[in-house]
Formats: sequence, structure tokens, C-alpha cells
Amino acid sequence: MDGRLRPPSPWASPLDSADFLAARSLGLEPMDQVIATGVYLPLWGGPGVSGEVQSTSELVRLGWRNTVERMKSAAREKGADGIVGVKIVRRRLPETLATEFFGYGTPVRGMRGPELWTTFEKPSGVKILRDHGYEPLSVVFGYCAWFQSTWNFKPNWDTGRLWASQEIPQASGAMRGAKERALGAIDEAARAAGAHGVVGMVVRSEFLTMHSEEAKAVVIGDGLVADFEAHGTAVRAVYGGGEAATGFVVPLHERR
Amino acid sequence: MPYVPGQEEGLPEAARRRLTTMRGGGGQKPLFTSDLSINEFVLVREAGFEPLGLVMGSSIYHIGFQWRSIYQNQELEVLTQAMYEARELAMTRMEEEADLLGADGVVGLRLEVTQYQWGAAMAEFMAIGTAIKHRGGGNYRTVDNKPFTSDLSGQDFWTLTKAGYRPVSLVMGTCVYHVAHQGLRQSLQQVGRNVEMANYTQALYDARELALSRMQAEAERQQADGIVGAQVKESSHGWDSHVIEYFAVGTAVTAVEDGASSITPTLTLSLNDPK
Repeated sequence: MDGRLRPPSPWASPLDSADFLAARSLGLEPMDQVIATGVYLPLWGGPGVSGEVQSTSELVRLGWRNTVERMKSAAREKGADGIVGVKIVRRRLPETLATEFFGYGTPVRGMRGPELWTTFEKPSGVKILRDHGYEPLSVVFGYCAWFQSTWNFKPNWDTGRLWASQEIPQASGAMRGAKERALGAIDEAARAAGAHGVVGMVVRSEFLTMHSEEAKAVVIGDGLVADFEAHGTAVRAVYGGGEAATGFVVPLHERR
Repeated sequence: MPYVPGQEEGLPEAARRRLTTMRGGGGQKPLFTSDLSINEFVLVREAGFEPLGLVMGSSIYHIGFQWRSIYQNQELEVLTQAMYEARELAMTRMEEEADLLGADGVVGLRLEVTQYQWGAAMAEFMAIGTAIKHRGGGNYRTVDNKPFTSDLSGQDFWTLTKAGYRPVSLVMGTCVYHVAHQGLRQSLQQVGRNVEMANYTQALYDARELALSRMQAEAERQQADGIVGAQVKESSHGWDSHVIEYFAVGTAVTAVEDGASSITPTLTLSLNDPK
């Protein structure tokens, strides 16, 4: 579950040379990797009432929370102060309705905070943040599955919907509902961590219909499910900040 | 739906509450969110702006149908209109969120169109970016009193401001075009020969020109000096093989008085090979 079966040394790290250098310049010492995983089975088909599908939302949040906690627990056992380069993957296992969460990252010693800190950023990102007066606190996550039972996308010969271009307000509303719950959860988590902001947010959204097995696992009924997920790194402003290292270059090339 | 500054009609109550809290309302500390990378975050701050919040607008849109003659090159106005209006709806909702945050503008804006197998005539249009505000105040809004919008990255935004320009608005033009099928006689005449497909050439040229000219007209309305990062994207969005959309998009910019500064690039050798 958390990689404790592997021998303790020598350590291995996915950091490339620039990130390793950035880590060392921050006084961070990489300590192997931490891995956490968990497989979860959702409740089969709840009642199809429009609104947030609590059971699904809670299951995904639980999976995420457990994955982060397991990584943190493994990092603490190694004596780490933080985890950099966190990656968390959520995927449906083939031929099943089960969802797997798989997380990994590089625990580091140095930059001790009141609590073990986590970030999606690599050490070069942490270095730039520190040099400009910010420090990472924790990875934050928001998710919501929103069911919309009635919506009108099918051809309607009476209203001419087949021919006319127009918005489908119920579907737009479902996605907005899901987005608000997910982003609200991120705000809440960041505030709970004592953050001033969240950087590097990644947003993913999609619609599932009742034709898919995934959607059938969420609710029973005719309609669609808006699935919205967002995550990022909560950061805190540190008074004064540090000093930019000589020759440290902020590249001007493309955003990620 | 035309944008009216200060309008919040498209915002659900939950969004209004969340954004007000993010600004520090309801006795809460202000909190920013952003999809900027660390480099972008730092450079946007270096340019004198503070990120305020991730802003998003979306619209699920049913794209209508238009009859066309298979042997005629023609713009499909119904589809052009739908593709433009749906993007505009998403943009408007995003701008409403930015307005509520008290933003001067939105950077790193992405316009995404997603289609689903279950709804061939439907598409999800999404506009997403980071709302920012200048620390020193000043007017960075558009001539319509909207927050400025830009698809430039944080790096490009910093470079632009250092070069003495500022973004005015994301400008776009679209054209959905039907390319005529060739007749049997024409096809037979071409068998075994290297020939230019004149009707294809003309159709693709016309469609690109229409999209580009509409984008430029938007920039003129915004009283911009020029457009940077302009690109023309091509997609058929699952329509039949002779129907194609050209979507021209870029950031309209204007020179800032006394804003010009010299940037002296320094050559550096990266320790990493590009991947």
C-alpha cells in the first residue's frame, strides 16, 4: 500500500538534474519515493434525483484523502519534512466499476514546517516560490458528480430543436453546479491549511450519460452526470521571502 | 448574450458566494486560486499584477442544422453563428466571474470545445483563465469597460508588458464552411494527372480569410494596435468530411504610453535537453 516492503536504500528519485540541483540549493535532501494506492467500489446506482450525487462525490474525496494521508504517513516514517512532485492518478479499473487511486511523490528532508507539507510542484517550482516569498503547504483537491435528470437534447420536432442552435440550459447548469461544489471544496481546504492562495490548478470536466457503465454506477435514471475535478497546491506568503539564487533562470517558453 | 459590465445574471448563487468570499467578504481572509504554473505566477506578479482567482464559464450548446448544396462552396452561417455564440456565452460567464472578483483582466485564457459521442449535435464550450488585478491601480479595462482577456501565458504576458504593450482583449473570428464535392466529369478529367483542386483551394482560402477578417474586425472595435499570438485552428468537430471550421484567435494589444522598456535577452544553456 505504501511501499514499505522495499529495502530502505539506496534511494531512487525521479527528479532530473535541474530539479535535483534546485532541491539541494534549498537544502532539501531527497529520500527515495513514496507510493500509495487504494481501490474503491461505489454504491451501485442511487436514486436519480437532480443535484450532487453525494455517495459518488464522497467516495472520490475519500479515495483522494486516503491516498494523500498514506503518502504522508510513509514520508513521516522516512523522517521527511515534505513531499515534492506529488502525482495522483484516478482511473476506472477495466471490466469493473471499481476506481483506483494511485499516488506517488519524492519525500524530502529540510524546510521543516509545523506539519509535513506536500506539493504537486517539483523542487525547481518550490525554489522559485521560496525565492519570491511563498512556500507550499499542501495539495488540495475538489470533486463533484452532479446528476441532471431532465434535459432536452433529443430532436424535438415541435420546437424545431433539431434545426435551431441554442444552449441546453439544464446541461450547462449541471456543469456549473458541479464546478461550484468542487472549487468551493478547494477554497475550503486551502483556508483550513492556512493558505493565502492556490497555484498550479488543474481542472478536468466531462459529461457521462446513462449509456455508460460509469454513469449507471452513479445513479439509476435517465439523464446525465457532470463530473468535475480540480486540484492544486495551496501556498502561504512568507514575510520577506528569500534571495534569488545567482543565475537562476525563469524560462520564457510555453506554459505546461 | 452580449456582455454588460457588472452583470451577474449568468452566475449561480453558489458562485457569487464563493467569489465574494475569495475577495475577503463575509469576514474571511482573501484567498486566490490560479491555474498559472509557478513560473507564470511569479512573472505575472513581477509584471505588477496579483492573481485573484480561477475563473470559468461554460455552455452546453445544441448546434443547429443547415441545408447545403453538395456542389457549392458556401459558408454555413447557422453553424458559424452557433460556434461563435456558444464561445461568447462561455466567455461572458467567465468575465462575469472576473468582474465579481474586481479583476482588471484575465490571463492564460483557454477556450475549449468538447464533443461527446452521445450528443453528436451538441458541444461543451468552456472558457477558463486566471483573473488578475494590478497592484498600483489604473485602468486596464477594455473600451466596453470589460476586464481585459488574453490567451497569453504568464511568460508572454510579462514579456509583452516589458516591451511596452498591454493586452486589450481576446479576439476571435470563426467560419464554418462547406467545401463543394467534385462532379463526376471533373473527377474524370483529373484521373492520372497532377492538378490543383481549385474549388478546394478557393474554399479553404475563403474560409480562413473570413475567420481572420472577423478576428481583425473585433480587434479594431477594441481600438487595438495589433494582435499577437494569432493562430488559425482547423477542426471538423465530427461534421461530415466537407464541412470545416476555421477558428482564428489571438490577443489584441495596444502600446502603453511611456511603457516601452528594453529587454536584454541573455543566452543560457539549459542543463536539460528538450523532450
